[in-house]
Amino acid sequence: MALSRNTSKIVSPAIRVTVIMIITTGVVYPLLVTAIGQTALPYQSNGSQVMLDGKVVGSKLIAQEFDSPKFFHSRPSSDSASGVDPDITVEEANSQILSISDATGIPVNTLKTLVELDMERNRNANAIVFAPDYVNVLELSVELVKNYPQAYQQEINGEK
Amino acid sequence: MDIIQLALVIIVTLGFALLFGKYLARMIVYEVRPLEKTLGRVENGFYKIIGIDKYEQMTWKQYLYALLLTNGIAAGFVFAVFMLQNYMPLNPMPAFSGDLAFMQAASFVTNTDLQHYAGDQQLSLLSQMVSLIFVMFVAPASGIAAAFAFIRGFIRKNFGLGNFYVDFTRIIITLLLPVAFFSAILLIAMGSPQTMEPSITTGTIEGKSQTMVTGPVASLESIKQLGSNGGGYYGANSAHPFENPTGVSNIFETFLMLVIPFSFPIAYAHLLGKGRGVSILAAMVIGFGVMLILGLFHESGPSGVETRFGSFGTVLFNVASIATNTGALNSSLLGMNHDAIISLFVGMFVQAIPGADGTGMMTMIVYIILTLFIVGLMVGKTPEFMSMKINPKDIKLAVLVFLAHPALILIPTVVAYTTGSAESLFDKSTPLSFTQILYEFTSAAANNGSDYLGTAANTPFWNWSTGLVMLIGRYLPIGLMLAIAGSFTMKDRKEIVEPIKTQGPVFVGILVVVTFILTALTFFPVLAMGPFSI
Amino acid sequence: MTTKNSVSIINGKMLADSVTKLNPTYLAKKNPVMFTVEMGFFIVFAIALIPSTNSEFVNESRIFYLESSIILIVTVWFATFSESLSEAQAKAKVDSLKNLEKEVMARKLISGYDLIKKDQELVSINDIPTEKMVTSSSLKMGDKVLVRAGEIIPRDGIITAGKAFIDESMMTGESNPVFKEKDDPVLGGTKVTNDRLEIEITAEAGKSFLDEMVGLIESATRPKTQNEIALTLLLAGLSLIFVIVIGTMLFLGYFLGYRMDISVLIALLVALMPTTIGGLLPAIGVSGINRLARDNIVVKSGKGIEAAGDCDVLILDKTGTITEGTRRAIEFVPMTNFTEEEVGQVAFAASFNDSTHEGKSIIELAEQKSFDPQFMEEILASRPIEFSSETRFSGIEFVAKKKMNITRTSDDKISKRLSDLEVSNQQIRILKGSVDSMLKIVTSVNEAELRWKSQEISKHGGTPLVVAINDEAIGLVSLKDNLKENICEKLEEVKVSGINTIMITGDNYLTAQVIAKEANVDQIMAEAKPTDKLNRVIEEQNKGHIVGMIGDGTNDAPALAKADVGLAMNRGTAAAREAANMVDLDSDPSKILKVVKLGKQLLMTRGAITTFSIANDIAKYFAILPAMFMRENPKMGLLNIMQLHNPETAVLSTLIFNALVIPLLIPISLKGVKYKPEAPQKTFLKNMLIYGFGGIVFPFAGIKVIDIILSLVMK
Repeated sequence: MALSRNTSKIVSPAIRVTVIMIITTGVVYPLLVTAIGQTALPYQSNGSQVMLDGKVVGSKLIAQEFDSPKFFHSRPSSDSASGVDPDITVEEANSQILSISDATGIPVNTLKTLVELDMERNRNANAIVFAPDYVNVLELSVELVKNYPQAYQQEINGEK
Repeated sequence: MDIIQLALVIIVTLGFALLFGKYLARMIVYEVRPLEKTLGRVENGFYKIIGIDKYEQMTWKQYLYALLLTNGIAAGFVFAVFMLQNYMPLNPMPAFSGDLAFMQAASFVTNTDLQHYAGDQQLSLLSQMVSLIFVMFVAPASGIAAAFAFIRGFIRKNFGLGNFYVDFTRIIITLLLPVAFFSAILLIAMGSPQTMEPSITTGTIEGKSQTMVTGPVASLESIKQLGSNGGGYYGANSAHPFENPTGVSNIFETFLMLVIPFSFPIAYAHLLGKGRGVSILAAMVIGFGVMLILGLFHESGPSGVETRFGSFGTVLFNVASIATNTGALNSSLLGMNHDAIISLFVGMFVQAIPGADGTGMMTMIVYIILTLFIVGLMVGKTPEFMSMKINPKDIKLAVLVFLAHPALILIPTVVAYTTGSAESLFDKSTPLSFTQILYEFTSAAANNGSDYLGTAANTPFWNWSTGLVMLIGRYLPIGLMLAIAGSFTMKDRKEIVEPIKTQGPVFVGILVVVTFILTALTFFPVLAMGPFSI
Repeated sequence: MTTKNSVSIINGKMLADSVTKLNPTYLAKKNPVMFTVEMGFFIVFAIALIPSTNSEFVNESRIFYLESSIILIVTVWFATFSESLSEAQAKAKVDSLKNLEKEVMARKLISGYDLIKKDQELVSINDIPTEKMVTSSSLKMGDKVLVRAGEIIPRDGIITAGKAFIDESMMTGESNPVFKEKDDPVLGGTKVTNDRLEIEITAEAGKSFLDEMVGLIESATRPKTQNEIALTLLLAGLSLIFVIVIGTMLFLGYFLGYRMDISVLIALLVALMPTTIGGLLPAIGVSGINRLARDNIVVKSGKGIEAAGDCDVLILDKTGTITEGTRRAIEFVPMTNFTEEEVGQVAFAASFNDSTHEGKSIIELAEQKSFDPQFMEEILASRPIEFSSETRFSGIEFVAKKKMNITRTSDDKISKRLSDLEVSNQQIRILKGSVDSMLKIVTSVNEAELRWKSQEISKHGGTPLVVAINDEAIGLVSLKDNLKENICEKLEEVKVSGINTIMITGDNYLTAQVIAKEANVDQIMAEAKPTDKLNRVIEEQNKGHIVGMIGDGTNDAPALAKADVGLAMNRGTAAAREAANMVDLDSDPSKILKVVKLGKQLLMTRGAITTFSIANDIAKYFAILPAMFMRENPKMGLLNIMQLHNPETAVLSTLIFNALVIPLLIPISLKGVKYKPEAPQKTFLKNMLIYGFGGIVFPFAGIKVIDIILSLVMK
C-alpha cells in the first residue's frame, strides 16, 4: 500500500502538469489568438477571401481552377508542392497573355500592364527582397473582370 | 536580392539570439528576468496546481524519470484523442488506426512530427487544436528542459540538475507561450487563417464552389516553427499558402525555427565563458553554412516548388528546417536537386548545426567531448572539458550517443528491405527509392520529421518501425546525455586552464572537421548508394 | 642503441609469444578491435577453403580470398608482435635491473661480542673479529650493525651505542648534520659524518618492487589505466559503428542490385576500423614502463605514469633535486678593520684540517684568490681542533714560536696580530663555525655588524660561517649550495609545459627565495618540516591539481602515497618505497622531471596514433567504394579519384597498406612521439598537422604506391 501511495506521489505532478498544460496551451492559447485575430484581423483570419461584386469568389491564397480560356491559369496542381499554389511566375503569365487577348479581345499591352501591376503589388507586399516576382492568379482575374465586365459576362453569370 | 534576404535572416536571427540567449541563461540559473515579479507569481500558481516544491532539486535520474513520465502521459493523451476523435466535437473525423495513432503520438511527443496522414483531410479541428498544439509545446519544452539540466551539470558541483516540473512550466509559460502568441498574431497579419470554422466554402469566379479547410492555423504554425516541431496543419505542410502565405512569412518562419537553437550557445557564453559559447555558435554557423552552400549549389525547382518562394526561399527555408530538426518543408523534396538532398541528410546526421531546441546544443557538446578525447590526448594530458577530466564513463556515454544514430537509421532500413516493406512502396529499387526510405528513417532517428514518403507510408510496418525509431532516437540520447551531466556534477573542477581551450578559431576548425569526418565515415556508403547516385 | 636492443630481443621465445597471442579468446578479452579482424580472417579463410561456394555474396576468385585472408591474419600478427616485442624489451630490462639494484655493504655485528669504550673508541673486548661484511638486503630485523664515519646506515634502526652527527640531507632536506645518540631512531640511507654508531635494525627489507613491475609488463596481469580504458571504449564504439555500417551495406547493396562480396566488405571493415591504434595500444602501454626502466626507474603501478602526464604541480626537495646538496665557499666577507684577503687567510688556516667538502672548498677559494696565508709553517705545525657535537666549531691550534717565519710586511694585519699574540706567549686558536656557536666564544666583535653581515649572506642564498682568531672575529665565509647542472633549463621546460613547481626546504625564507629565483622555481615552502609535505600535497589536490613529488624518508611515505605521482629514492626507507608508485634505483631526485615528460609522451603517442588511424579512413573509402560499385554504377566513377589499377588491386593494396602501417609505427609507439617542451596549444597544432592532416594525405600516396607495385607484380 505504501508503494502505491509513493507511486501516486511521483506520478501525480506529471498528470497535473499535463492537464494544466492541455488547458493552457491546447485551449486557452488558440482561443485567445482566435479572439484577437477575429477582432483585429478578420480578413486574414478567415482565409483572405476575395470579393467581386459583393460576392466571395475564393481565397487569394488558394488556387482555383479556371475552365475558360479567358482567364490566366494556375499551375497544374501536380506541379506545385501544395497543390494549391495561387501564384505563377511573370514569365508564365506573359506566356498566357496572347491566348487570353485572343479570347477576350483585351489588348496585349493592357494585359501586360495588369500583370506588371499585380507583380508590383506582390513585390511591395513582400518588401521587395523577401520573394521573387510573381503574379497572383485570382487577384489578376478579379482585376480583369472588374475592368472588362462585358468580356467576362458569360463566365461570371455561370452561363457557358 | 537573395544575398540581402540571407543577410537579413542572419542579422535578425543572431540579434534576437543575443536577447533570447541572455534570457535563457537567466532561466537556467534562476536569475531575475524582465517582469520577474509577475512571472514569478504566475509560475507559483502553476506550481501550486501541479503540487511541487519549486526548491526541490533532482538528480539526473529523477529528472529523466520526470521527463519520461510527463512525455508518456502527454503521448497517451494524444494517442487517445486520435483514437477517439470520431466521438468528439468540432468537425469529427474517422478515428486513426491503432498503429497510426501510436506512430503519430510518438512522432509529436518526440518533437519529430513525421506525418503519415494529411492533417487537412484526416484530423478534426479538435484534434489539431487540443492535442497537436498542446503536444507541440510539450515536446520542445522537454528538450529545452533537458538542455537546461545538462548545462547546469557543467556549472554546478555536487548539486542536483534542477527540477523538471519547474523548468518545464517556466519554459512553456515564460518562453514558448509568449513568443508563440505574438508570432501567431504576426502570422495572421501575413495571411494565416485563425478561426474556429473547420472549413470555408465559397464560390469561384466561374461560379463553381470551392471548399477550403481552415481552423486555428496561425496558432499552430507559430509553435510548430518556434518549437522545432514541424508537423503541418495541412498535408502540404509549410508549402501550403495558409501555413506560409508569402515570402515575408517564409522568412519569418525561418527565423522562428532558428532563433532558439542559436540562442543556446549565447546562453552558454553567458554561463560558461564567452569564448566557449561564441566558438560553439561559430561551429554551428559554419555547419549551417556548409549545408546552405551545398543546397544552393544547383537551382531547385520549379517543379515541386511554390512560386512565391522561388529556389532561394525554398532552399533557405528547408535547410533551416532540417538543420534545426523542425522538418517542416515548404516544397516537395522531389523538386529539390540531389545535392540539396545530400545537404539535408548532413543536417539530420549531425543534428547539431544548430539542431533542435535544446537537444541540438546537447548533441554539440557531445561532439566537443568526443573531439577533445580523440585529438586532445595529443597534447600529452588526459583531455578535459570545462577543466574537468573526461573519464571512461563519459566516453562510454558519448560513444553510445554517437553510435545510436547510425544504428537507428541503418538497421531499420535493412529491415525494411528484408521484410519487403520497402519494395511494397516502389516497383523497383532505384537510388531514388532507396534515398526515400533512408530519408524516412534518418528523419525519424534525428527527430526531424520531414518526409519523403508521405501518406504512402501509412502502413503498419512503417508506423510501428518509425514510431519505435523516433522514441529511441529521442529518449536514449537524452538519457545518456543527462547521465553525462550527472557524471560531470560529481567531478572536481580544476582552477587552472584546460590543456586545450574549447574556444578560438583553431578549436572551432578542428571541431567542425572532426565532426564532419566522423559523420562522413559513418554515412559515406549510404550517401554514395543513395542521393549521390540519383 | 635502441635498434640494437630490439633486434637482440627478437628471438624465438618472443616470436612464439606473439603467435600465442593470436588465440581468439585472448584477443576477445584484451583487444576487441583485433579480435574483430581475426574473425574476419576466419570467415574469408573459410570461403577460400570451402570449394565451390555458390552464394550471392561470394563472387571473387579463390586466390583473392587466400590473399586477403593472409593479409588479415598478418595484420593481427603485426599487432601481437608489437605487444610481444615491447613486453620482451621490458622483461629484459627487469633482469638487468635486478643486477643493478644498488645494495649497501653493512658491517653486521656477530652476536657474542661486547663493546667497551676505550679512549673514546668502541672496541671489542676480545680480539676476535666481531663484524662481518654483508649486503644490506640480507639484514633482518633485530640485527645489529656498526656504521663508521662516512658510511651509509643500511636500513632504519635505533642507536644502541655511540653518538654522532648524521647527514640526513638526502632524506629531509635539512643540510646541517643532526646530532643523534643512544635510543634515537636513524634512517636508512643517511650518512654518519663522524664517530661511529651501533645500530639495531628495526625495519624489514622492502618487498621487491621489481616483482610488481613484472606484473605490469605481463599481459595476463597488466591492468589497464583509466586512459587506456577510455580509449579502448572509444575504439570499440567506432569499430561497432563500422560493423553496423558495413553489415547493413551487404544487404542494402544487394537490394540495390550491386554484386556484393563478403570478403571485400570484410576488407573495407578492417580497413576502416581503428586497427592501427587498436593494434599498438598494448605495446605503447608497456613501452612506457620499459622506457622508465631504461632510466633505472621501477614502475609499480601504471596509474603513476598516466598521472605523470597530467601532473601540473611538482613538489621538489631543494637538496638533491635542485641543488647538489654540498655547500661551497663563494665569498669572504671581512669585518670592519679587516680586508677580504685577511679573512681568506684566516679561513684557509681554520679549514686546513677540515676534510669535508665545505672545508676543501674554502681552501680552494682562498687559493684561487691567492689569499694563501703567510704563516704556513705554523699551520703545518698546528694541532687540529676537530668538529665536535658539543662545541660545534673546528679549526687549528698552535703556540707561536718566538721567531715566526713570517715575511712581515707593515700592512699584514693578521701577521701583526699573530706576532702580538706571540709576545704574550698565548696559545693561538684559529676557528670557524656557525654564527650562533662562534658568538659564544668571540668576545671582541661588534655583534650587530656580524649579525647584519650574516643576514646579507643569507639574503643571497648563502650560509654564513664566522672565522676568528681566539676571541676576535675576523670575518665571514659565505657557503652556498650549488644548483645542479642544467637544473635551470630543466625547470624552464617544466614551466613551459604548464607545470607549477614548489621547492620545499628547511632553509630560512631568505635563502630559499634566492635559490628559487636562481633555479626558476615558482613557489617555495621554507623552514618546512617533513610533515608539511603531506599537507601541501593535500592542499594542492583539493584545488584539483595533479601532484607529483619525490621522497625517501619514512616521514615522506604518507605524502608519497597521497601524491598522484610518487617517486621514491631507492636509498630511501622501505616505507617510502612501499608508498610510492615508482622507485628510482639511482636515487636521483631530479628524475621526476623525466617521469613527467615520459607520461606526457605516452598520452601524446596514444592520441597521435588514434588521430592518424581515424584520419586514414578517408582515403580507404575512396579506394574501396569505387572498386565495389563502379561495375554496376558508372556514377561511382566520380569517387575513383585515386585511379587504382583494378578493383582487386584496390582492395588488396588498401589491406596491405592497413597492415603495413602497424609495423611502420612500432618504432614511434615504443619510443614515443617527439616531445618538445612548449605551450600545449602549440604541441597540439603541430601534432594535429602531422598526425591529423598527415593521416589524411599519407594513405592516398601509400595505397597508390602499393597498387602500382601490385599491378606490376600481377601482370
